[in-house]
Amino acid sequence: MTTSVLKDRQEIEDVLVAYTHALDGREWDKLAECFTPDATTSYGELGGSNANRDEIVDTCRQALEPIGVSQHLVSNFAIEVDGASATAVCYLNGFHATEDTPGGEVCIVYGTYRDRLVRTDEGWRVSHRELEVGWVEGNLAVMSGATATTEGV
Amino acid sequence: MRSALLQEDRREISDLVVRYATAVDTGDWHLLETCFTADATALYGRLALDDRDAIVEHLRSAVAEVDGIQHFVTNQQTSLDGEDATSVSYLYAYHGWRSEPPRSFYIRGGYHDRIRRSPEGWRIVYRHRLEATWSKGDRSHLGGRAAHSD
Repeated sequence: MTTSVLKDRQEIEDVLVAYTHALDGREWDKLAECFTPDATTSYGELGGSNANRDEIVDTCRQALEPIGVSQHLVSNFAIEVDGASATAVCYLNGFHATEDTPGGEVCIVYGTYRDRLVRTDEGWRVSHRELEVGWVEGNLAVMSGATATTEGV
Repeated sequence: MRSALLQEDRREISDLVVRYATAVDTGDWHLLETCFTADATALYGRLALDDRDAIVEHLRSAVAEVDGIQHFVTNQQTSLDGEDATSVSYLYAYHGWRSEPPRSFYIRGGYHDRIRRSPEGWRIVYRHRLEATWSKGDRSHLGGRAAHSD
Protein backbone atom coordinates (compact mmCIF):
# COMPACT_ATOMS: atom_id res chain seq x y z
CA MET A 1 0.00 0.00 0.00
CA THR A 2 1.48 3.34 -1.03
CA THR A 3 1.94 6.34 1.28
CA SER A 4 -0.67 8.32 -0.65
CA VAL A 5 -3.27 5.54 -0.34
CA LEU A 6 -2.61 5.37 3.43
CA LYS A 7 -3.14 9.12 3.62
CA ASP A 8 -6.35 8.83 1.56
CA ARG A 9 -7.66 6.07 3.84
CA GLN A 10 -6.96 8.19 6.93
CA GLU A 11 -8.68 11.21 5.42
CA ILE A 12 -11.68 9.13 4.38
CA GLU A 13 -11.98 7.67 7.87
CA ASP A 14 -11.74 11.24 9.22
CA VAL A 15 -14.71 12.32 7.07
CA LEU A 16 -16.83 9.37 8.18
CA VAL A 17 -15.99 10.16 11.82
CA ALA A 18 -16.63 13.90 11.28
CA TYR A 19 -20.16 12.97 10.12
CA THR A 20 -20.88 11.28 13.45
CA HIS A 21 -19.56 14.15 15.57
CA ALA A 22 -21.60 16.65 13.52
CA LEU A 23 -24.75 14.50 13.80
CA ASP A 24 -24.37 13.87 17.53
CA GLY A 25 -23.38 17.49 18.18
CA ARG A 26 -26.34 18.70 16.06
CA GLU A 27 -23.90 20.81 13.99
CA TRP A 28 -25.62 20.96 10.62
CA ASP A 29 -23.03 23.09 8.79
CA LYS A 30 -20.35 20.60 9.73
CA LEU A 31 -22.60 17.74 8.60
CA ALA A 32 -22.98 19.39 5.19
CA GLU A 33 -19.18 19.55 4.85
CA CYS A 34 -19.00 15.75 4.73
CA PHE A 35 -20.93 15.57 1.44
CA THR A 36 -20.64 16.77 -2.15
CA PRO A 37 -23.42 19.21 -3.14
CA ASP A 38 -25.08 16.56 -5.31
CA ALA A 39 -24.63 13.69 -2.84
CA THR A 40 -27.42 11.15 -2.48
CA THR A 41 -28.45 8.83 0.33
CA SER A 42 -30.59 5.81 0.91
CA TYR A 43 -31.34 5.33 4.61
CA GLY A 44 -34.04 2.67 4.29
CA GLU A 45 -36.89 2.81 6.78
CA LEU A 46 -35.04 5.33 8.93
CA GLY A 47 -34.90 8.19 6.45
CA GLY A 48 -35.79 7.18 2.94
CA SER A 49 -33.82 8.62 0.03
CA ASN A 50 -32.32 12.06 -0.48
CA ALA A 51 -31.32 13.60 -3.81
CA ASN A 52 -28.83 16.29 -2.75
CA ARG A 53 -26.88 17.66 0.21
CA ASP A 54 -29.55 20.11 1.36
CA GLU A 55 -32.09 17.28 1.53
CA ILE A 56 -29.64 15.06 3.41
CA VAL A 57 -28.99 17.71 6.05
CA ASP A 58 -32.74 18.44 6.35
CA THR A 59 -33.57 14.77 6.83
CA CYS A 60 -30.88 14.30 9.45
CA ARG A 61 -31.91 17.47 11.24
CA GLN A 62 -35.59 16.53 11.38
CA ALA A 63 -34.70 13.04 12.56
CA LEU A 64 -32.20 13.99 15.27
CA GLU A 65 -33.41 17.28 16.71
CA PRO A 66 -36.36 15.77 18.62
CA ILE A 67 -34.10 13.10 20.13
CA GLY A 68 -32.54 13.84 23.52
CA VAL A 69 -29.06 12.39 23.02
CA SER A 70 -27.41 10.23 20.40
CA GLN A 71 -24.10 8.47 19.91
CA HIS A 72 -23.27 7.07 16.48
CA LEU A 73 -20.31 4.76 17.04
CA VAL A 74 -18.53 3.72 13.83
CA SER A 75 -15.84 1.09 13.55
CA ASN A 76 -14.66 -1.89 11.47
CA PHE A 77 -13.68 0.29 8.53
CA ALA A 78 -13.04 -1.27 5.13
CA ILE A 79 -11.87 1.44 2.73
CA GLU A 80 -10.74 0.96 -0.85
CA VAL A 81 -9.19 3.79 -2.82
CA ASP A 82 -9.03 3.92 -6.60
CA GLY A 83 -7.40 7.18 -7.66
CA ALA A 84 -9.83 10.02 -6.96
CA SER A 85 -12.73 7.81 -5.91
CA ALA A 86 -13.21 5.34 -3.10
CA THR A 87 -15.65 3.01 -1.40
CA ALA A 88 -16.02 2.66 2.34
CA VAL A 89 -17.90 0.26 4.54
CA CYS A 90 -18.15 0.59 8.31
CA TYR A 91 -20.27 -0.68 11.19
CA LEU A 92 -22.71 1.60 12.95
CA ASN A 93 -23.93 1.31 16.51
CA GLY A 94 -26.46 4.13 16.53
CA PHE A 95 -27.62 4.90 20.07
CA HIS A 96 -30.61 7.22 20.58
CA ALA A 97 -32.24 8.09 23.89
CA THR A 98 -34.93 10.50 25.04
CA GLU A 99 -35.93 10.59 28.69
CA ASP A 100 -39.56 9.85 29.57
CA THR A 101 -40.46 8.25 26.23
CA PRO A 102 -43.48 6.02 26.82
CA GLY A 103 -42.54 2.42 26.12
CA GLY A 104 -38.83 2.91 26.67
CA GLU A 105 -36.17 5.62 26.53
CA VAL A 106 -33.61 3.93 24.29
CA CYS A 107 -33.43 2.81 20.65
CA ILE A 108 -30.25 1.33 19.18
CA VAL A 109 -29.71 0.82 15.45
CA TYR A 110 -27.20 -1.86 14.47
CA GLY A 111 -26.24 -1.21 10.89
CA THR A 112 -23.69 -0.85 8.14
CA TYR A 113 -22.84 2.29 6.16
CA ARG A 114 -21.81 1.71 2.55
CA ASP A 115 -20.39 4.82 0.94
CA ARG A 116 -18.90 6.12 -2.27
CA LEU A 117 -16.51 9.04 -1.91
CA VAL A 118 -14.70 11.39 -4.28
CA ARG A 119 -11.59 13.52 -3.77
CA THR A 120 -12.47 17.20 -4.25
CA ASP A 121 -10.49 20.43 -3.85
CA GLU A 122 -11.78 20.54 -0.25
CA GLY A 123 -10.73 16.96 0.43
CA TRP A 124 -12.59 13.66 0.37
CA ARG A 125 -16.39 13.91 0.39
CA VAL A 126 -19.22 11.37 0.47
CA SER A 127 -21.04 11.27 -2.87
CA HIS A 128 -23.43 8.45 -1.98
CA ARG A 129 -24.32 6.83 1.33
CA GLU A 130 -26.48 3.84 2.13
CA LEU A 131 -27.48 2.72 5.58
CA GLU A 132 -28.27 -0.96 5.80
CA VAL A 133 -30.18 -1.57 9.05
CA GLY A 134 -29.35 -5.03 10.40
CA TRP A 135 -31.21 -4.85 13.72
CA VAL A 136 -33.09 -2.39 15.89
CA GLU A 137 -33.24 -2.80 19.67
CA GLY A 138 -35.50 -0.91 22.02
CA ASN A 139 -38.33 1.51 21.42
CA LEU A 140 -38.82 2.74 17.84
CA ALA A 141 -40.93 5.59 19.19
CA VAL A 142 -37.65 7.25 20.28
CA MET A 143 -36.70 7.53 16.59
CA SER A 144 -39.90 9.39 15.75
CA GLY A 145 -39.36 11.79 18.61
CA ALA A 146 -42.41 10.76 20.63
CA THR A 147 -42.21 11.88 24.23
CA ALA A 148 -44.51 12.03 27.21
CA THR A 149 -45.44 15.57 26.18
CA THR A 150 -46.03 14.97 22.48
CA GLU A 151 -47.74 11.59 22.59
CA GLY A 152 -51.35 11.79 21.60
CA VAL A 153 -50.88 15.09 19.77
CA MET B 1 6.92 24.16 14.76
CA ARG B 2 5.13 21.44 12.85
CA SER B 3 2.09 22.42 10.78
CA ALA B 4 0.34 19.06 10.76
CA LEU B 5 0.40 15.67 12.39
CA LEU B 6 2.23 13.08 10.33
CA GLN B 7 0.67 9.72 9.50
CA GLU B 8 2.92 8.06 12.07
CA ASP B 9 1.77 10.55 14.72
CA ARG B 10 -1.87 9.74 13.91
CA ARG B 11 -1.10 6.02 14.14
CA GLU B 12 0.75 6.40 17.47
CA ILE B 13 -2.02 8.54 18.98
CA SER B 14 -4.62 6.01 17.86
CA ASP B 15 -2.50 3.22 19.39
CA LEU B 16 -2.27 5.23 22.62
CA VAL B 17 -6.02 5.45 23.26
CA VAL B 18 -6.40 1.78 22.38
CA ARG B 19 -3.54 0.89 24.75
CA TYR B 20 -5.34 2.70 27.58
CA ALA B 21 -8.49 0.65 26.99
CA THR B 22 -6.48 -2.57 26.75
CA ALA B 23 -4.74 -1.77 30.03
CA VAL B 24 -7.99 -1.14 31.93
CA ASP B 25 -9.76 -4.12 30.35
CA THR B 26 -6.91 -6.54 31.19
CA GLY B 27 -6.01 -5.04 34.57
CA ASP B 28 -2.47 -4.21 33.41
CA TRP B 29 -1.67 -1.25 35.62
CA HIS B 30 1.95 -0.91 34.48
CA LEU B 31 0.69 -0.64 30.91
CA LEU B 32 -1.81 1.96 32.03
CA GLU B 33 1.01 4.05 33.54
CA THR B 34 2.75 4.13 30.16
CA CYS B 35 -0.23 5.96 28.67
CA PHE B 36 0.33 9.08 30.80
CA THR B 37 3.09 11.60 31.42
CA ALA B 38 4.40 11.62 34.99
CA ASP B 39 2.67 14.97 35.62
CA ALA B 40 -0.63 13.99 33.98
CA THR B 41 -3.94 15.05 35.52
CA ALA B 42 -7.50 14.03 34.74
CA LEU B 43 -11.17 14.74 35.26
CA TYR B 44 -13.41 11.67 35.30
CA GLY B 45 -16.99 12.90 35.33
CA ARG B 46 -16.83 15.36 38.20
CA LEU B 47 -13.86 13.70 39.91
CA ALA B 48 -10.51 15.53 39.60
CA LEU B 49 -7.38 13.37 39.76
CA ASP B 50 -4.18 15.24 40.52
CA ASP B 51 -1.40 12.98 39.28
CA ARG B 52 -0.67 9.79 37.42
CA ASP B 53 -0.74 7.63 40.55
CA ALA B 54 -4.20 8.97 41.42
CA ILE B 55 -5.46 8.23 37.90
CA VAL B 56 -4.13 4.66 37.90
CA GLU B 57 -5.44 3.98 41.42
CA HIS B 58 -8.90 5.35 40.57
CA LEU B 59 -9.23 3.02 37.60
CA ARG B 60 -7.69 0.04 39.38
CA SER B 61 -10.06 0.32 42.34
CA ALA B 62 -13.08 1.00 40.11
CA VAL B 63 -12.80 -2.21 38.11
CA ALA B 64 -11.02 -4.57 40.54
CA GLU B 65 -14.18 -6.62 41.21
CA VAL B 66 -15.70 -6.43 37.72
CA ASP B 67 -16.03 -9.78 35.95
CA GLY B 68 -16.67 -8.69 32.37
CA ILE B 69 -15.37 -5.40 31.05
CA GLN B 70 -14.91 -3.84 27.64
CA HIS B 71 -14.03 -0.28 26.74
CA PHE B 72 -14.90 0.50 23.14
CA VAL B 73 -13.00 3.61 22.03
CA THR B 74 -14.01 4.84 18.60
CA ASN B 75 -14.74 7.89 16.42
CA GLN B 76 -11.38 9.49 17.14
CA GLN B 77 -10.70 13.03 15.92
CA THR B 78 -7.12 14.23 16.30
CA SER B 79 -5.61 17.65 15.67
CA LEU B 80 -2.40 19.53 16.30
CA ASP B 81 -2.52 22.19 19.03
CA GLY B 82 0.82 23.98 19.21
CA GLU B 83 3.36 21.30 20.07
CA ASP B 84 0.67 19.07 21.62
CA ALA B 85 -2.19 17.16 20.02
CA THR B 86 -5.81 17.02 21.06
CA SER B 87 -7.87 13.88 20.67
CA VAL B 88 -11.63 13.55 20.97
CA SER B 89 -13.03 10.03 21.00
CA TYR B 90 -16.25 8.19 21.79
CA LEU B 91 -16.54 5.70 24.65
CA TYR B 92 -18.86 2.81 25.31
CA ALA B 93 -17.76 1.02 28.49
CA TYR B 94 -19.57 -2.11 29.62
CA HIS B 95 -19.13 -3.71 33.06
CA GLY B 96 -20.73 -7.00 34.12
CA TRP B 97 -20.80 -9.02 37.33
CA ARG B 98 -21.36 -12.76 37.72
CA SER B 99 -23.69 -12.28 40.62
CA GLU B 100 -27.08 -13.76 41.42
CA PRO B 101 -28.91 -12.13 39.71
CA PRO B 102 -26.33 -10.91 37.17
CA ARG B 103 -25.59 -7.19 37.25
CA SER B 104 -24.28 -4.75 34.68
CA PHE B 105 -23.48 -1.10 34.26
CA TYR B 106 -22.65 0.74 31.04
CA ILE B 107 -21.71 4.26 30.21
CA ARG B 108 -21.72 5.99 26.85
CA GLY B 109 -19.64 9.11 26.61
CA GLY B 110 -16.27 10.28 25.38
CA TYR B 111 -12.78 11.49 26.10
CA HIS B 112 -11.17 14.86 25.44
CA ASP B 113 -7.42 14.42 25.70
CA ARG B 114 -4.39 16.64 25.53
CA ILE B 115 -1.49 14.56 24.30
CA ARG B 116 2.17 15.46 24.49
CA ARG B 117 5.20 14.24 22.59
CA SER B 118 7.62 12.80 25.16
CA PRO B 119 10.97 10.99 24.71
CA GLU B 120 9.01 7.72 25.14
CA GLY B 121 6.44 8.70 22.52
CA TRP B 122 3.03 10.37 22.66
CA ARG B 123 1.51 10.39 26.15
CA ILE B 124 -1.70 11.76 27.68
CA VAL B 125 -0.96 14.87 29.76
CA TYR B 126 -4.64 15.62 30.50
CA ARG B 127 -7.66 13.36 30.10
CA HIS B 128 -11.22 14.52 30.53
CA ARG B 129 -13.54 11.54 30.61
CA LEU B 130 -16.72 13.48 29.85
CA GLU B 131 -19.80 13.15 31.99
CA ALA B 132 -21.93 10.37 30.56
CA THR B 133 -24.16 10.96 27.55
CA TRP B 134 -26.13 8.04 28.98
CA SER B 135 -25.60 5.34 31.52
CA LYS B 136 -27.62 2.37 32.65
CA GLY B 137 -27.47 -0.18 35.40
CA ASP B 138 -26.10 -0.41 38.88
CA ARG B 139 -22.84 1.48 39.36
CA SER B 140 -22.72 0.79 43.09
CA HIS B 141 -20.64 -2.35 42.51
CA LEU B 142 -17.79 -0.45 40.93
CA GLY B 143 -15.03 0.14 43.46
CA GLY B 144 -13.57 3.23 45.05
CA ARG B 145 -15.19 6.57 44.37
CA ALA B 146 -16.68 5.32 41.09
CA ALA B 147 -19.39 3.50 43.08
CA HIS B 148 -21.06 6.67 44.27
CA SER B 149 -21.27 9.10 41.42
CA ASP B 150 -19.92 10.01 38.02
